[in-house]
Amino acid sequence: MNNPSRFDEQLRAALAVPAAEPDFVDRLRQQLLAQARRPAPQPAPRPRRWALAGLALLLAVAVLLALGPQRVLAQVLDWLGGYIPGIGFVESEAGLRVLESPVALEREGITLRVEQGLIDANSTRITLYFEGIDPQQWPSDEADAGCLANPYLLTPDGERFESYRGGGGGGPNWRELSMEAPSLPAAVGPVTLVAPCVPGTQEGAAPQDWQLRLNFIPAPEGFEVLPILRLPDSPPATAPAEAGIRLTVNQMVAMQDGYLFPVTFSWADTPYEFVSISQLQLLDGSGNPILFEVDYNNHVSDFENKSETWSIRTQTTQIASPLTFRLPAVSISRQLSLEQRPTIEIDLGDSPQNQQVWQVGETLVVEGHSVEVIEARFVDALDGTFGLQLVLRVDPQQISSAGFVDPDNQSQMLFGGGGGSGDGGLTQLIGYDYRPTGVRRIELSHLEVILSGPWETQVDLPSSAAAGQTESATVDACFGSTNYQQISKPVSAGQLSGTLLIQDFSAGGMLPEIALISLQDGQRRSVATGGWAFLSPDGRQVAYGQDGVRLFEIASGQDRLLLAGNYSPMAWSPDGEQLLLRSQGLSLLDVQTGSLQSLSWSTQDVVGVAGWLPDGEHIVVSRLTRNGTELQAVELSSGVAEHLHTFNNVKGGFATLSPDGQWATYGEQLFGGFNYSLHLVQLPGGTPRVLAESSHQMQFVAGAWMGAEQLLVNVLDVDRSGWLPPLLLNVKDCTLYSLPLPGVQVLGWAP
Amino acid sequence: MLPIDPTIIREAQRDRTRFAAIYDHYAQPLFRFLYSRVGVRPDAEELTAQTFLAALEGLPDYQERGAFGAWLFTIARRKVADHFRRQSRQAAWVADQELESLAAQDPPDQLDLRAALSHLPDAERELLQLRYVAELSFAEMGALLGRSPDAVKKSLYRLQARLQAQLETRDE
Repeated sequence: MNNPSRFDEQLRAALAVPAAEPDFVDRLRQQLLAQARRPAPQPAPRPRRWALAGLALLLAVAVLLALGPQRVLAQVLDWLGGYIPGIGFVESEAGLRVLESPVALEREGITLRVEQGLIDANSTRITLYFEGIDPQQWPSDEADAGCLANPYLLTPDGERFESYRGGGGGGPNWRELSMEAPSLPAAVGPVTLVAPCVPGTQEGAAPQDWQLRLNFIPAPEGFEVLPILRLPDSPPATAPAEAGIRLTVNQMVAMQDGYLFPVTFSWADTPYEFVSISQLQLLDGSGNPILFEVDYNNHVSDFENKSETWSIRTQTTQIASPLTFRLPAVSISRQLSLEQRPTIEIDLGDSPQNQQVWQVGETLVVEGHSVEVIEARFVDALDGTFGLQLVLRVDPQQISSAGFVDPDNQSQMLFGGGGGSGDGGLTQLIGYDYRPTGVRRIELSHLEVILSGPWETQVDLPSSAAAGQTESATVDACFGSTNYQQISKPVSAGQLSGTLLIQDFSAGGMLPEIALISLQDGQRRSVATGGWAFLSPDGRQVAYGQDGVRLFEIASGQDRLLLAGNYSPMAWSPDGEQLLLRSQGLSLLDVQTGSLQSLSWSTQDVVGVAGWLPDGEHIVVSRLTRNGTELQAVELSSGVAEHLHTFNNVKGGFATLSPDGQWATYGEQLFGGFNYSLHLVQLPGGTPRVLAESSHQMQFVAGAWMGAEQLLVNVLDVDRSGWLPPLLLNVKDCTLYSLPLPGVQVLGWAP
Repeated sequence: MLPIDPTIIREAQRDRTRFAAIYDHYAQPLFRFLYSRVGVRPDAEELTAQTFLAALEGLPDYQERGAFGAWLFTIARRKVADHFRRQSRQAAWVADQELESLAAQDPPDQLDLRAALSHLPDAERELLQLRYVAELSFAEMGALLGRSPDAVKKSLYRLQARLQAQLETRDE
């Protein structure tokens, strides 16, 4: 047996995880000290404006992130076996057993379903669903995790097979669980799935002790298990600039509709703790890019051995061989220790003014990398926060971002951020929740250093599938990021009418400025600082959220609080007399009387409101269901819902309803796309089509309908995190217009 | 990691700015523990911040019994459970499974220690993480898990022995 102390060390090494970065430790220490300096113990910071800011930012960021990085701690896969689409990898196809038929059990409105189960030599895998959960059955206290007891399998002789791994997902009223337990012996017969509770629900709020009988039978003839093919090792096609980084592809699965490749990225022979990939490219034999997606369910992170493996899936098998996997560059994050950090000093004086500029002109050098601080600009934001905006220049081939901190920043909530233009110009904002004065010492705390490649590896595709040329994957869209500038027609201000409601983050601060722009003369008028702004149907009022629901009368400039509390406007009624609000659920506010009416039906599972139908009696909402995001027309008085359309968007889809209620736009990813592309569907049940194809760098988002056929489309420059001038699209004939407007985000339009 | 000096706790209860000393003592172990639980650096950072803020605010209510680490990591475990619940995932598959019953299961046929660890039930993996990542003492682990330090020690040793046996069986 191993020496116990040596085994201790092996365990320690096997469980090792990266340390907290000095910059983070430093910042959190400051935040805690600032919190501790408050005179008396108080509840944890109650984010009033911050909460609203968070919500507003969430809206802005949500469109940026699409389906963000989703690390799944998957098992270490044994790639020698087979692959079952929809289930995953199995070690061997011998002795496979499957669930004989789907089973279900309904209790007190909640249904437990098991539709799929598989037993192989290693494990029993079952996916179960709980449907019909009342959102009120989740714990109301965030600190209460709800019921955590795992489902398990019980054999007829009372032996328990515990789940040792699981995962899942869910929506406001359903929960999906995948569980993995030891392999059930073939002779055991039917087993009982026991779920002690509905996972995540408040103890005692939902029925407990669920039992469902499962019968497994040998996998029927023709049960599809795809072989995992070994590929010959191929040497790197190019000698990389940085040794010790490797890209390896030596297995593949040929599916009917594409290939699956486990791709391993390793930096084991480098001194770096972690190396990030920002861009992976697949190129066919002619050098043309191939669309692919990442299967995150088969992602393995092995930080101890400095490697990560992804499963990459293509959309077609018709690819001209060979297939090249290419990493143009990677990056490493360099958190500078306190001793390493070069500093600059800026004297803000006693009363720094908004947009006041200090020319700095200093070059900071650390580890051979230079960061030039050109100037610092003071920001007195409309929401009461302050900032110091640093304008920087770096070598874009070496540095992708640079982080700065003010170690004496006493703000309770530290915020900031930066951006880059890709040509070496960077900005970095240091945020304060008080007006900083006097001499500020600013430290360079972090660098994102680029290591240039490329790193490549090639795969020869099977001769049976190796096509002479790659099947093209074109998207039939009105326009896309590559052609919108060429095909859009200019329109002058005089040709348009009405008023735009916009929001603008460019003034700095955590909350955007809400403003109006006249389309006749382009004049801009500031309304307020806040979020969730909606223009009334007659264009005379703006409802928005800022410490409650506020109403701005455009003619008089009068601004008043309609309702205090944690409410956000969601939509105006067609007659302009009511506002649909959101708090825990939905409610209606009478704008004249201020009376608030909760809706009688359960609304906590509504994730988005697309609009109000012209009849005034129905609203169109989005709900997250097992099948995707579902658009429904819901009768306000009864809650009776009519299905309209289902699409795939984990964030609810950002649907907008046309004024006549006939059409809806929403965001959905195209295969291989990182950002959501803009779609249109006729309601109910129409065939959707793509209005605008987004790219990695540019995203198109519905802004506001302008009548029944015209749609204002917001254009987000993802790299710069800023909005470009919006476009006007005729959704019927795809005519596209460029507007004489600055880069803003359109929220509404009124005649 | 040595347990924190109780006088630091008492001082921090009198003067909140002394909480920095507690933070300095636990920042890295707590972060590492949370990282090992959630596997994503930004999430681990967020949960670390939440845990320390909650500890700072709850410090007046903490009763010093020499188990501050257990108290702090209890907050962290709740934050993790809440995190998974909000992530709409099965909450870390935390279960009160008896280690003995699991020991009777077929040993996983894996190639190395890491693979064997990846096949452990979550409760067992957490036991190892509390010991080898967070570096808590057996007394702190016992207080945290509601068991005696001796029982925790036995469970851990039994688990280690099982893992060693699995690895050596494969080596033969």
